[in-house]
Amino acid sequence: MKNAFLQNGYFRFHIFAAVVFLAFAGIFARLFWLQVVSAEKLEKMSEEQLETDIRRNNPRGRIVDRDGEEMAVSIMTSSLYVDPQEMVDSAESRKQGQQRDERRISVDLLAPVLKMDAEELYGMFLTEGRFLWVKRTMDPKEADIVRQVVRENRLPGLHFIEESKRYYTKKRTAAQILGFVGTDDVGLSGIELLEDHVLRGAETRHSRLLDALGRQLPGSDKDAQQQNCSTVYLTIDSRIQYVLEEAMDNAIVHTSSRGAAAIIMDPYTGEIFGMASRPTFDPNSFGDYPPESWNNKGISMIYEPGSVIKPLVGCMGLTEGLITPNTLFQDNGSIRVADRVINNWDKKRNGLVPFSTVIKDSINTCMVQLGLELGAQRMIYYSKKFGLGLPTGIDLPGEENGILYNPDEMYESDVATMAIGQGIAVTPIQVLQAICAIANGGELLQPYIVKKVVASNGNIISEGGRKVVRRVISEDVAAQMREMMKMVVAEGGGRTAAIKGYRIAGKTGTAEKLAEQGGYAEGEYISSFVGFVPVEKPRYVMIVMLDTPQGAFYGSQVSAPVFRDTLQQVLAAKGVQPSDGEDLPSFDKIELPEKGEIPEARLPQMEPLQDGKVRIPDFTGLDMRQTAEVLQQGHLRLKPNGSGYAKRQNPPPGSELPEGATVEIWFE
Amino acid sequence: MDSRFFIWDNPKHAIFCLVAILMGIGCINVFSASYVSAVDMFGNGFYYLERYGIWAVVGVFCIFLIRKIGYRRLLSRRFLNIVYIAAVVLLILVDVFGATANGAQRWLRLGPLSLQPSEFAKLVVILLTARNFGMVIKKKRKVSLMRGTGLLVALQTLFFAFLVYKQPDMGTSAIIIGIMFMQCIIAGTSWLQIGGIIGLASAASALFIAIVPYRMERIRVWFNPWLDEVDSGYQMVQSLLAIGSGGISGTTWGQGTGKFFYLPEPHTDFAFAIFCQENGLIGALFLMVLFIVLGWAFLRIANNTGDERGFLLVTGASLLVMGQSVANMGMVCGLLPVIGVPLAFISYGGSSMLVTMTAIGLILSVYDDEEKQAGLAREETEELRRSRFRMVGGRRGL
Repeated sequence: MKNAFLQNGYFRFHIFAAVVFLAFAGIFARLFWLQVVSAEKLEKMSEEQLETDIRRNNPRGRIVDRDGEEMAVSIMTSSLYVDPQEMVDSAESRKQGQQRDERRISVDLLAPVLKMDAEELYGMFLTEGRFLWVKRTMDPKEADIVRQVVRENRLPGLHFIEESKRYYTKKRTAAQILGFVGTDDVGLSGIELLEDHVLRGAETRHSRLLDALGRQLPGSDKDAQQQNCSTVYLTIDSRIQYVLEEAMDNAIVHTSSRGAAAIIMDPYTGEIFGMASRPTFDPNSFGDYPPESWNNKGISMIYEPGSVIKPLVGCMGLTEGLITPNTLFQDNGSIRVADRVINNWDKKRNGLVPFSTVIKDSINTCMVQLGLELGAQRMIYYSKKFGLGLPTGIDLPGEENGILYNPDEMYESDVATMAIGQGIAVTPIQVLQAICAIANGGELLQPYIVKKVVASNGNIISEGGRKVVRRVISEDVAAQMREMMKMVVAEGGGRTAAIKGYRIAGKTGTAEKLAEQGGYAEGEYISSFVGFVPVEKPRYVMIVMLDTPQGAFYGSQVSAPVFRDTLQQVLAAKGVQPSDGEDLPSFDKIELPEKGEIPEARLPQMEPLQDGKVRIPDFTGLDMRQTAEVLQQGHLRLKPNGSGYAKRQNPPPGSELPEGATVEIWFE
Repeated sequence: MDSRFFIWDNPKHAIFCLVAILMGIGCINVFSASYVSAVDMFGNGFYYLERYGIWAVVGVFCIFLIRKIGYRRLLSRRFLNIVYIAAVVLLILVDVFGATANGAQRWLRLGPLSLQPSEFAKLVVILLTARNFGMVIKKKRKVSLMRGTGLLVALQTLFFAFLVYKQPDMGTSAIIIGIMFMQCIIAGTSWLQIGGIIGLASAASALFIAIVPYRMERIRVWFNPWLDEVDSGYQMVQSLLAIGSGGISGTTWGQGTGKFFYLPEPHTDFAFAIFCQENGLIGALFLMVLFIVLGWAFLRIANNTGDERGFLLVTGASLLVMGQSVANMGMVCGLLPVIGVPLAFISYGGSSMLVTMTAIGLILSVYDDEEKQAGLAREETEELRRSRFRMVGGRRGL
């Protein structure tokens, strides 16, 4: 018989067993609750803590020139940020009983690699926030080293984000056109700003599974493919742009101008081939340059155009039927309008001259007469028609309007000065656009610079194109003016723009600079030249504007050579065949003044004699204007024959002549 | 005696079979749960799997050894005294030389392996209670903790508990005292004492919880871990997330995410959470059924034991294996506060494995003895048929 106490033990052990069984049942119920009833909720929470939305910035879209040559590209670079709250001992190291100051360790390891001040870094790690940039857009090599240091030493709280970094492959070239982007991939100026919506690298989000230490779980890498952004094709031709930039640099060196702008455009489509502005900057490090250098003067600088407006005023007269190229004007060297006296730029008196000569020699008094004949209403009407004082609508940010008089408020003197390009403020692009209308036969085109925007899949999102704003003048008027402007370069004030073998039309302009506080700035000029080549069928229309050149300041002296130097190379590079024909300027005789050198210094001098007489030099090779200048010194009169360059003179060189005598010179 | 047990010939075979299955599951689960952190810490994803294998072999050897020796010899006064003193020395050594982890000194390093003397203390308490309470019952007396052997056992256990508590390891300390009390209750102490024990235990727990703030925090977290899911409730929340995200069928083996440093102790105390995540409710139910059947086998063996000490040895060993397992599962799924109790076979832990296997060895040893007795009895019956004279003096209860 078994022990009663043992029997009692059996009984009590059965109770224990029952309790254990019930406990199992309870656990099962609990598991049922967790894994069936609230499974969905818990699974979601579990996924939430695992899944991390990785924000991935895609590289910003490219900006390329018309031929697809890269001008601005983006690559993905790593940016390091810190979550200071994570910089505590890992559970693991605590388990091993090692206390360590993670922040100090991180600083000691990273400061030399990042080339940052250790204390500054430490201060950063002590902040309250949860997100702080340590270093952005590191170059790949640096990022690799930092990544390695972080990984090997298991530094907590340090993370990387891939960010897009912009590279401007051509550095300063086309800087103002391209603009630049801020560190948040936001376009801040130029095309970067204008086309920011298409260029900006879309931020793709994709989830990744991370372990509790923030490392990616194996096999959870559904690395989203880099989403390529749209590419912006500009109308810019990088070769032309490059030549232009070079020419501008040279011009700045030689003329010591404060600023400059130049634009080359296709006269038949309005495409901008090149556009440069000075001072300039390198968009790769735009912050190192003064903000003024970020301005695109070609579209944003307003100035009085001066004589370059004369062909436009001429067109007005021709269109209105007031004049023909042969209409004679009386030039007395100066003209009084109301209370103002307007002189010729060279104070020369030309007498009775046809209008073509007025344009060729840029005779102010005759232009004033034409202007007065046109009157305020017509002049402003046509100016507006030519697009002066109004934004061209070019697809670049920061375009200025310019200033036009209200015709009803114009005094007679205002009308007179406007005819010679004063009392009107324009931007270089406006002048170019207006002259372009003459070049292409009378149509005002809207200039544009974005050729097309192509999506990553090859679809064209948008496309720029020839856009005729309006017809301004007739084909005939345009043709007549082209002829006159051709003369300017062939024999007139724009000879310094001549390129051997090509017929070029152009016009110089020199105007006193508008002072910032109103009125004119003493001794400061804006010298410009606008022209197109070849005259028969213009391929390029170009404007050069120099702001406050030092020393020589006439458009013919400083701006026209830039035009010549640039287009000479462009024509050669683009294979534009030289024209042939009789009316091409004969180059052998043209001695072009050195850039920036004051031609006066090279002109032969009158030798004053004691008895009030002067000894005349040899005029051979001088043009009419230079001849006039030289003769003016000795108060002698010129009796010109023909046109071109002095070939023969009477009396011969070395003769002694009294004041007021006439020298007859044959030009060829 | 009908020795059939479910599909098995006898409970012994059932235990062999169940232990083998549980070890297989444990092996797989430990590997899955520890792989990531093993790679991270040792550069070897098989680190814990290898060690689990080593301990399993050592454990099987333990079973073999104990069955060879036989539980009766292990319960001799001399052996018990040696074991008790050895355990005390080890516990003191651990206080002096022990390795620290999670702020407590629990491990003694022996070459590449580390041992947790507090785990062995549990075994010693089982042996102690089995022998002493068994002797009391055998003498047909009521077990009391207030006098004689009972008091001595109580004091010895309390000393153990004190040493473990000092590590500090309050959980194991409580388990040690709990085993002693449970053994005492099963051995048949008076209802008055049971009431007293329960009252005393409640009061002590309340006191212990009250005096140390972090315990209060644990209790608070136990009731609602979501209150502080990033700090004190973190482990619990992670455990619940792991279990919940497993759903009915689990994420399939190896696909659980809790082990990726989200769930602390994924291969030790919280291995069951990983198991639930990867195998789902179905897997968990299967595992629980295995444990229940194993417990049933223990119960059967206990029931069939005529020897009081053997009986109490089985109850003690069952308490250890089943009680801890239930406690661990309860803890992992948030029914109990977080206390460091391993789940037999599933949690990785050398000492725990050794202790579990020893406990099973003891149970099997009791069964062996019983089988032997039954065999002898059968022989006797046969002999009885032949000669009634041999009936004098039964062999049982020698």
